[in-house]
Amino acid sequence: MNLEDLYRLLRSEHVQAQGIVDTLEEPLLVLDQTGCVLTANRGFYETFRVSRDDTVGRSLFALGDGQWDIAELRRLVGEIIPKSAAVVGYEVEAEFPTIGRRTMLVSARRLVHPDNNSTSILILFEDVTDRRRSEAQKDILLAETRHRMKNLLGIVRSLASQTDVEGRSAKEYRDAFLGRFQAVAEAEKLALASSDQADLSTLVEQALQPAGAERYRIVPGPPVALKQPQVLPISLILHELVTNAWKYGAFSKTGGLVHLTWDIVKKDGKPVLQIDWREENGPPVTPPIRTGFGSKLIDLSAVQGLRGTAELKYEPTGLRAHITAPVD
Amino acid sequence: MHEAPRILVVEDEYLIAMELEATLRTAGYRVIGPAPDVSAALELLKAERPDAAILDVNLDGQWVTPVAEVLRASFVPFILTSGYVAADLQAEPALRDVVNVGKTWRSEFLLKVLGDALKGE
Repeated sequence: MNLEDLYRLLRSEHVQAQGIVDTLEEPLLVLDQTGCVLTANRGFYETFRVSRDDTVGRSLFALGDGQWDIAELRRLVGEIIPKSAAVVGYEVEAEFPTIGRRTMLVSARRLVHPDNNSTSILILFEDVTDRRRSEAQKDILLAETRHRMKNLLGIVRSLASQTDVEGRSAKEYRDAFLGRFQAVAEAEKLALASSDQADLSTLVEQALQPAGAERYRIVPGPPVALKQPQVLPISLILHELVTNAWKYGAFSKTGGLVHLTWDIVKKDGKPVLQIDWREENGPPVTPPIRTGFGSKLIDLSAVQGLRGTAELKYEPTGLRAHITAPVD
Repeated sequence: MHEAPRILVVEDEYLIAMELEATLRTAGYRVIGPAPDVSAALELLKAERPDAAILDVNLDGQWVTPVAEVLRASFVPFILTSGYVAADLQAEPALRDVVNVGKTWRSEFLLKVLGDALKGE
């Protein structure tokens, strides 16, 4: 190999090395021992939207608005050459000129050099703003989920402890509890499936479907998007009405029918959802002598769960229920 | 005869409030509320002073702290039924050293803790 070949080789290696450095999207700097910028790659200029003139020849700690001028970072970078130390992933959150608030991880180490006695420092920056943001969102979601799970267990516990036991066999108690448990599970599934709203018609269909299509008539009102806290109370109210119909009402006799309709009406200028349940062709109906947990559950679900009202009328032709709930 | 102690219940989840109320009534207490949010609880406190209170911490996103502060100022003992753990409550001086029985509790334990609070223990 003659000198000319060697020169060509070195030159092509240099061009290749420069090409690699400039291809990297991650910003990087090479500093001298005093912290002055010797070189910056294209990634650095593009990420921080600065020019070569604002960068090369200046101290790292004087760049931009002095975002890197942090006493601890200064100390760490200062130890790299004399102590062969390294900085790995030092996090800096700062307001940068033109690009705004960012979270950057700074890594620095002595630049590897064939003479093995390099006094240059390579600085790498990693923009983790988006990653940190999505981590924060995940943390919030996790906290909400945890809260929701604990609430859900409390709700299930409440239903288990309040489902009537008096004058019932263990099997009757179990069926009554599991029915309510199922209503909670279905409401939860619906509330989780949609981002934060659930459709009333889905909920109604879900509650009545097991009775068989010939046993009910739904006359749907306008589409109603239920807010997440409204789903469980409505699901429980429908469950209690359906259960009652199986035990004493329209579903307990062949030919018995449930009519369900809903509408949105204005009350004091605010929209109110009205759900009407009407049974017909069932056995003769008389008001219960004792109010069990079921009717209490309907009432509290409407009043406290929906901030609305529940009215049950035991008419001779069949039970009528009128539920109202403010919606917006 | 001794009057039954009055317990203010603050809980946003009505089904849980319902069970708390039933548990307290069965144990011979009178229940004030349940109040589902801070403003309803403060309203109830204006009308009467309970002998003790049971508070959930997160009321549909709002913290119960203002209620706890009023209770402290009028020397009404209270306990928490919150899903939060101690670390979550550290930042709130009105809540941090209060006994928390958690979101699901054994009735006997809740009633014992409440009894202790009423006795000033």
